Amino acid sequence: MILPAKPEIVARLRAFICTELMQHPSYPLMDDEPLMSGGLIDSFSVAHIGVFIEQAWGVYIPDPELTVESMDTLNLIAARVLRG
Amino acid sequence: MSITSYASLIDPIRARAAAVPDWPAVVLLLEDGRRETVTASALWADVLTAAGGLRSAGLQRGDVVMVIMGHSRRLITSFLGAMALGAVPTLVSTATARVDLQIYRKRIAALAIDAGAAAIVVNPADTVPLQNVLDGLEYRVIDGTQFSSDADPTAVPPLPSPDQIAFIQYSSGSGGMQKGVAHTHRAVLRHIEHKRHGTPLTPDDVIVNWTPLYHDQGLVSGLLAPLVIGFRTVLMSPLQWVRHPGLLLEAMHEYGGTLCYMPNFALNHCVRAMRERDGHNLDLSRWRLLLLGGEPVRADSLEAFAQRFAAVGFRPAAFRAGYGMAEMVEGVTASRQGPPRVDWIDVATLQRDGRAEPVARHAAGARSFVSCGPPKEGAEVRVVNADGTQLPDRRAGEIEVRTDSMMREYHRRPDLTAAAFRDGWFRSGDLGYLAGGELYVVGRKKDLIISGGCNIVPDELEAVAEQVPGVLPGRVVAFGVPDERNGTERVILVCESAQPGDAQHAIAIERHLRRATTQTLGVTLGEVCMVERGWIIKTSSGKKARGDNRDKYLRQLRPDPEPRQS
Repeated sequence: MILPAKPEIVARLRAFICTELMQHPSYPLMDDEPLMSGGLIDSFSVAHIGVFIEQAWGVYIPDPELTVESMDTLNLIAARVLRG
Repeated sequence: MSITSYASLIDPIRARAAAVPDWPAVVLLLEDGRRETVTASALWADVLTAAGGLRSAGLQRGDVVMVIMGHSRRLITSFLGAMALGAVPTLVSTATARVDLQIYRKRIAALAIDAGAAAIVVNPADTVPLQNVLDGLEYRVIDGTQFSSDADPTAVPPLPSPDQIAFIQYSSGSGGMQKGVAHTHRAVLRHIEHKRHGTPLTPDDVIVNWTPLYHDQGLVSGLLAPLVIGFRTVLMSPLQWVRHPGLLLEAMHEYGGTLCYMPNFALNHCVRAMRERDGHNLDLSRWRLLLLGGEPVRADSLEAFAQRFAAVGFRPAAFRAGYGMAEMVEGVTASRQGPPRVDWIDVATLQRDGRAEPVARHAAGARSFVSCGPPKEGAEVRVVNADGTQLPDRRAGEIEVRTDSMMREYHRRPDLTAAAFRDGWFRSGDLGYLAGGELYVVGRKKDLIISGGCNIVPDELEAVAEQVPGVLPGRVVAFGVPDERNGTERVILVCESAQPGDAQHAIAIERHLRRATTQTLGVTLGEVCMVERGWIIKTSSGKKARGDNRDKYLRQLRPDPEPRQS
């Protein structure tokens, strides 16, 4: 699968996180805003993000990488998606 | 041999090392993908090594030892080693990357003082190494990976006696709100004997456990019962399970798992967060019992899990639901034979008159409660009204329990102990009713929030929130509301603001609140509502009426009302 450009990945991740995980669609989530350490989503959500990424772009992120440190902002997650 | 003829929890470990030295007692699934099998003889050798190491570090019989280590063989052997020495271990959760380490240090220091701890055992290889974080306080910090292995296996220390305290189990909550439950070897062995006979559990069982060992369910069902009864336990890291719930099912398949214990939300997590590719080629047909406890069990969670995994052999007859608490060692009731009963009652009659009136499933105002089953052997349950009078069937009131293995007291807290009992019965603070000899839990008298199997004290959340600039002191209230999607409760924080119409100001405060509760308490807020002054309902004495505020939130603020529980 050809991956879209980073801004599009960030936009889809933002929509998923605000709508599905935070259940707060209008939340103004910034690209560098800490998701888990900032208390926006809990550590269970990172597993949901893994499932979403695989469904959306076919990228499988193994569980050792699904950590707060490596998945804590939209920018970090998008960069990981782009590595394929 | 009957379990209750053992003098301590350590005796069966020693006996099995001699009788079946090569028996694989414990399998550890490590976060880096390695698997470690610990045989009965290796486990006993490790326990002796840890006991010897702790003794060399100056610890002795009766000393309280806090063990704060991540998922590893050392966690288990440090805990058991302390017990073998006659010291009193208590397991405490490690710091995560989300918490503020200075605040964590303060919490541990408060807990150490409360427990009267002599030492803390840590693992420098943990994700957040604690040695430096915890150093410099009153207790000793011991590296649990450095116990030397040259202990003489024949130099067995005198093992604990039945009435010695085996371990302390701390409930959730911080500072003065933590309650340490101290259990004797005799009480825990008796509990395990009832569990063995009543469940029943046999040496042919295999349990796969992801629940944290610092919780009563993980410790007793996941570690101690298997070691005492003599069936294999496969232990995985709770943190890894959170990231990758499919691993649990893979382990059930691979090791021929027959048993698993978990709170309700874990069912939803397995269904929602498991990758498609992980769900194939599994055979779960040997899965005999899936025991649910730790938070209310929901009929929709059971249905979703059963549906999702039917194709790989999971049978709904494996479901059991139970009710228990650390004060009783663990479970007090458990459903028997087949999936737990689901009782449909009229919710308005329950709220108005406290009566659980049965109605048809699709009747207007019907709500389901899942049965937690009848009391287990050695346990009694009753439901009482406010003055302690026992209520008849289908009348809701406070659940009181007593068992032949219940705690005698909270560790060093006679004040809490006195308040916990009425005429020899333990006052649970939970609300429920009995019907046909089975217990149904409908709510809580106390304002506790149970989210993701963790108990959260609203006062603590409110105290943290009040420190945030822009939040008016005394004008913030926290409570839990049903979270159907995740099968648990969602934490709601409502704050009165001096500028409720200013969206930017509101978001700035929300960000600050979310960060503060996460870093201080490890609690992720489900929703933050900024409201105008005067919104929060207070009682005539000025206290926050959390139940009333919760109802008002559900009527006025809930963003997307979800359908009633089905």
